[in-house]
Amino acid sequence: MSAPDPRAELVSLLPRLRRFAFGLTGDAHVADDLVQAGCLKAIERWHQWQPGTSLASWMFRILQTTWLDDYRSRQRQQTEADSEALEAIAGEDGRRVVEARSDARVVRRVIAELPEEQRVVLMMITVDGLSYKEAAEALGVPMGTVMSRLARARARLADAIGGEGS
Amino acid sequence: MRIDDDTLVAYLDAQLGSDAEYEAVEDALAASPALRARLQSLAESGELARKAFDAKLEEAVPPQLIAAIMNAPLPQADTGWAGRQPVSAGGANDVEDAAAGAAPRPATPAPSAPGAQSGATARPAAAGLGARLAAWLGQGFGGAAAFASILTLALGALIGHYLLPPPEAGAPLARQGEPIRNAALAVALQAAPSGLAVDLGDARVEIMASFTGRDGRICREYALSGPASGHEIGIACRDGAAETGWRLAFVAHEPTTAATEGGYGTASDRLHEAVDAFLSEHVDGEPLDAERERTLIERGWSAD
Repeated sequence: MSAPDPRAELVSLLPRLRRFAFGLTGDAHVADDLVQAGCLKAIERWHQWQPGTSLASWMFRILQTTWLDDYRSRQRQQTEADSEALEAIAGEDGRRVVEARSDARVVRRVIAELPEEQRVVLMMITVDGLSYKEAAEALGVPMGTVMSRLARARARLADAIGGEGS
Repeated sequence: MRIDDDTLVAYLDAQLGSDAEYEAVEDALAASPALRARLQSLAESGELARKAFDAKLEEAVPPQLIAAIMNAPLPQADTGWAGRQPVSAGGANDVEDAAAGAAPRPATPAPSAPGAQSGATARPAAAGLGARLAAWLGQGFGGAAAFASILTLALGALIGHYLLPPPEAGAPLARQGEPIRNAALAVALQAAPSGLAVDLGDARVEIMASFTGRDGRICREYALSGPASGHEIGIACRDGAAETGWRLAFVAHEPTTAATEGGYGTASDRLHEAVDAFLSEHVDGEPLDAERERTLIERGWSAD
């Protein structure tokens, strides 16, 4: 069987790529720009992808490096604005905070506040469902590093949002 | 043994290395209410993170994004896909000439909306794909058929195989008037510019031309070919009631003949004549130009 068109393969991954990029960038429009740039880059370098390995992992890696190289500096101010919004919410009265706990926007703000290396593994593993091994391979770091980054991300999220139970 | 967050999270994610490690965690949990509480809040944190991004997965993918990817040129690398499969080489080209000459116009209005049954509630990645296709098409395109066909696309398997177990000559893959159910074909109709051949593994689909019909509906002619699927030329028209947004107005099919066995070959004159007859009966006017077509793709084929 001949190989399928890379473009069709990438299109079939778009929902997952958009979700990952949204978590990475914290902004829906920037995320779509990033996904487009990442997919075009992937098509140019398609020969570097090894058939049989996870295309999603490879794409997550491309999105992350593209974000680091080309986009992130432009987004710093946005991130600072988000963190102020988070502080404002955290300062509200207890009842409203409890109501807001399950609010997806609040969770996303907390995630946006995580150090990037933690945010990336959280999006890859907890949100997208990659295994630790796949994430470690995609990021080129040892499994133990993935494990501790993920645990720190989950702990921060638990401490920031979960009140009772801890 | 001290159980830290790393271990608890790996326990929750079923990523510990050995049975002994699971037993150690479970013994510690049994002995410590505080550890159980910690496990609970770490579990909640994962659930919240997933839920916070769930909606993104179901959201319709912007057609411009799909179009930008489908329009990207493939590199002429000496390894990998492009080297083995020249994009526009091969059999379908002379069909395009014929189709472009006979300016189109569509066809039979299609009746009843098919009930989009949605059954795919299972979590696993594969089951989610059907729902994801629904998301990018922005329609209720769910259920087993969607699930099967998106898998076909994802695995690069033969779309013709899914569409038609080739019987005798002239038997259509889907009947005229039916909605387009094949995910790969639906995506090509939705996002590919005319003239682009999308290789799907063992078959290739090429969108030949787009045109507006007498009834004002927009239609696209496609050619599908592959060693096992044979040749098919179809005309699909926009229909909001169809699950994928496209309904088949006309189709002509012929199986692969001995002469074209093992290759992509070309459709026979007879097939072209059938399409030309349909077009001349239902169409007068020019195909949409590339710019207009691009605008429509970016708009997701919605009216102005």
